Amino acid sequence: MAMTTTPEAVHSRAEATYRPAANRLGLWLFLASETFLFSAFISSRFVVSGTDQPEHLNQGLALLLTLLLLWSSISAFRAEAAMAHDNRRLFHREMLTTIVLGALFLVGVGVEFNEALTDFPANTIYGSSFFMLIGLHAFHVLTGILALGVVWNLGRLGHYGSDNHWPVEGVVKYWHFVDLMWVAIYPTLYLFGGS
Amino acid sequence: MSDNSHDTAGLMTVIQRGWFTAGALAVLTLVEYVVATTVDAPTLWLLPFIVAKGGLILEVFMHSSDLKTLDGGNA
Repeated sequence: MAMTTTPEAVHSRAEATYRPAANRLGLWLFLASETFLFSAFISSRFVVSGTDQPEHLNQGLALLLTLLLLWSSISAFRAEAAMAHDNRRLFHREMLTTIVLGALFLVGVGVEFNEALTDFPANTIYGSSFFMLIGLHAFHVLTGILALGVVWNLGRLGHYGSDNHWPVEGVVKYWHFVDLMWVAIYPTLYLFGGS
Repeated sequence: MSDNSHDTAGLMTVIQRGWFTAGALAVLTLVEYVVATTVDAPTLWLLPFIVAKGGLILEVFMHSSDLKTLDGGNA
């Protein structure tokens, strides 16, 4: 009884409760700042070229990339839920699935870049917006994959459990944020111009 | 054993919610694509899709309502 009421014990309990909350607040503030960055790039597309878009956009590939990223979001969600319930086997499988799907997304972006360079180079009005936005997003996907890889490896080594899975929650939240930004970028670049 | 089965049931409930959300997002994406390719000047028509999809991701996947208490989401 005396152990639980010493100042050290009280401080330790308070810190254990407080730190994940502080981490969550920090991550949300970081994501808010990232939202401003993406918003600036998205709004620049409308400022320089309105809703005009070239005819040669690869709509099929863009839709496929959107569905790939959506699929990776559900696998990331499953990975986080698995670790929160101490199901390590499912965690490993779903984290790897998320990483592979993210890598496939980047391959698709590479193909899209290759096609776009001939159809609307980066020195055209639409091309500058296109390459800036897709490039910015792809860079976030790349950093997300690297972070997922680190957390997957640490999880594989037994660093996390149901009572200590903040890093998993954090990296998965970041991954969902990358998906969230694509929800805005996809129509901005591919759909607003109409058929 | 009963704790374990209870935990598995809890995990299945969370995962079911995730699948339902992913299904809704996939349907919204496909309808969004059809609207964009069939309607002239579809910008205003597409805005509700962006809001709905973003709201689903924020609420279900990112647990944005936990911002009120800063509690964890998937536990």
